Amino acid sequence: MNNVLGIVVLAEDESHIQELTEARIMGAIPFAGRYRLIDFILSNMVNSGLRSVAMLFGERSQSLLNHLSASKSWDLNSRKGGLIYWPFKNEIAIRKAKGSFLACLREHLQDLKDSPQEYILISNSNCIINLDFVKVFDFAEKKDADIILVYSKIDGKHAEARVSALTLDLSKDNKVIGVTEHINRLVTGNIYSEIIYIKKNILIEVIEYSEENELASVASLIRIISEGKYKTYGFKNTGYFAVIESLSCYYAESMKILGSEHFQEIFLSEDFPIFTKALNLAPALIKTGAIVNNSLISSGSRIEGVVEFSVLSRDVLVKKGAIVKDSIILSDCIIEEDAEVIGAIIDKNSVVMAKEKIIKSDNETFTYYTSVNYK
Amino acid sequence: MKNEMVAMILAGGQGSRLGALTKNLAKPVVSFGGKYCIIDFVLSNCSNSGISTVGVVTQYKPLALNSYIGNGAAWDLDRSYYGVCLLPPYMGSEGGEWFKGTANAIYQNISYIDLCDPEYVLVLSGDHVYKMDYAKMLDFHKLNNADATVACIETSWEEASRFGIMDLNDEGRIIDFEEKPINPKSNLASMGIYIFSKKYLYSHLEADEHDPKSAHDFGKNIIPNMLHSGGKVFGYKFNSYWRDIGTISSLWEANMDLLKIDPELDLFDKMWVISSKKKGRPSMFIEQATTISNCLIDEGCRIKGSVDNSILSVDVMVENEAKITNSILMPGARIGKGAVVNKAFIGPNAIIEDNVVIDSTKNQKVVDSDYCGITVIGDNAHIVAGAIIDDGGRAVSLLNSLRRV
Repeated sequence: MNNVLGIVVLAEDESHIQELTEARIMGAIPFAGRYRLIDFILSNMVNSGLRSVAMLFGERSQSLLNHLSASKSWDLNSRKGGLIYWPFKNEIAIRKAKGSFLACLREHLQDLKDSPQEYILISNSNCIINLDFVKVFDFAEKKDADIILVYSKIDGKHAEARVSALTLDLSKDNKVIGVTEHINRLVTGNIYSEIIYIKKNILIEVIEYSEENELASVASLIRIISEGKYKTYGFKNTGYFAVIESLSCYYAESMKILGSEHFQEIFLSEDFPIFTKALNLAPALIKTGAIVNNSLISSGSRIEGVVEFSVLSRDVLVKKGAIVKDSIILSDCIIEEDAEVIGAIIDKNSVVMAKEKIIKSDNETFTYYTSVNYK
Repeated sequence: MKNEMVAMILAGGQGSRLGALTKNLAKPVVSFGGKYCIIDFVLSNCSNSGISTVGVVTQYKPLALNSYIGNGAAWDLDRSYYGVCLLPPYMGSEGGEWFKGTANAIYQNISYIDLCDPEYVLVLSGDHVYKMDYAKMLDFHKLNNADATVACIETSWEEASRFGIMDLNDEGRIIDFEEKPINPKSNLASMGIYIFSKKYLYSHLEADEHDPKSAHDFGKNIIPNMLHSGGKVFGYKFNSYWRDIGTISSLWEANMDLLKIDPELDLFDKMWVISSKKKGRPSMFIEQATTISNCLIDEGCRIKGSVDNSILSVDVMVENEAKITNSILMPGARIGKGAVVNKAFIGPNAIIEDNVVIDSTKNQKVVDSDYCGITVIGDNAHIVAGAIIDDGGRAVSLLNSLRRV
């Protein structure tokens, strides 16, 4: 797969997950204990044999860059290719375009032209996925396609509440014949996963010949390419797929991981390990008197209190008498003695004081808390 | 890049007293403390002490050791200049031979030391568990203008006859040294950690090599000879946690030391981090209502049963109603439903099926043996459902090649 360049576009709409993106960009949000969102797409690309992945990102990238500096963790410390950084300058315009990767790529058109690969695989950074992209490449070859759009088929029973989504209209042989935009509603059908596989010369053509305003949304792009002369097909992903586009979605997906089958499917596939930055931390320590149930606990954490139905990142301390339930605790937090944390997302580096209570109210599914002032 | 000191880690011994645990791999890569291999301590100490040129002398079953160390990146030893280098026995134009002893292992690798061209040579063992700043020991060596410095520690009187025992004068100079004495005169034991001024070391290695009566061992030959010939040999007193992992019981005890309240060896210390190679596994997952108490649990573990006072390495699975106590489960070990494991080592990737009982603590023979009541199940062993193992695991290790018991 040395002929495929991966591109991860970190320009998602963050307006519904602002609490967690104040200090970091979407891709750097911690997830499932020891991971960050970008680990999933990055690991999928590497596991599918890609040797070069370009990162498109704007401001607030410190957290992301610290994470990616361990490029070895994804085996992307290569002399040819490896991890490539393409920062974009015009952040405001790009953010307005709500995730359109074409606007960011326009800034790096020359880099794109100079890259040796003939095919491009583009994705956002906020999807939880375990898919062998080789299947997508094979499918493209079989169909002699110019462009492949990856989608998941969702029936009425499992309709997804989405902030923003596109569904694909497909012909009998899976050719893309139209696209529908959905905003803030339950969505069913062929939901586009925002992963596109495209011949590089066609991508360049589209960028060069499109007007600035036409690049404003992914929907308009898909209209251009599907109504035009390009052979565009949909590839159905039957495996796990989720997009983290809002804080409630983040909470729900985190809790879903605590279901055994989901955990198995995402993390325990022999051929598709999910990689993340390696840190030198001691194994988690569960002390005498601790009670731990149905929880993910990361290295460096020390637990003396109660932890149930929760996800703990690295280096979290839960002291004696503290209770943590239905919560997500990000790294380096301290839950002091006899504190109570129920149904909460506790952001990185926070301290919950002794006997303090952070409990969601009856009318919310969760509450967000940080004791750190990032401003 | 000038090298002031190169470290030579002796990692070639067989470690036969660890029984089934070293059947297929060298002792330095035996799993320790849930996340580590024994050699992680000495490699991390080198890295943390600012030593970036490290030779690892290998001999016995080196495959796992070689692949574990790789280019040394896990310990920041993947340097543009020198870094870590594996040193196996080799053939020369006049033939080749195995390393005959610790001193001979260094003698045969003089060309490596020459290549790195240091002023001082630090000789270390790959099977010790401790945190030590070798830079401080080198300062001590230089301050005394010593020819050789031997790190030493006060040990219990009962254990003293296991070690090289020394006596120091007021300046810290060694005035008496006896290797494994039957009636020790002191309890100051050599830790098998030496700093030598290079030229002085070379002359003694050369002389020792041509002595047909020599066992070519640092403790037995080199250090006593240095003292006899009037060399300036000093003892560097160390007074923190240090364990020589020689036997099953010392390995078990050193692991259990980590579970004490405020353990002497603090793995959570951010000032002296012990690094290890990572596989990139998910956070450990405690799946259902179960009791877990006083345990160190590494990434990738999935636990449904109860675990008490134990250490679980990466990717260990414990099924429903299993009961683990006082045990060390090595990477990838799997414990079936309802199985009971007490005071045991479960080797890497061993499969313990449902309702197996592993407990030798009531078998007086095993309790009185050097296993001290510990059961050892070797790597990849497969214990079929319902089996009862109370013989220390000896039958299993004998049949291990069959992979089924």
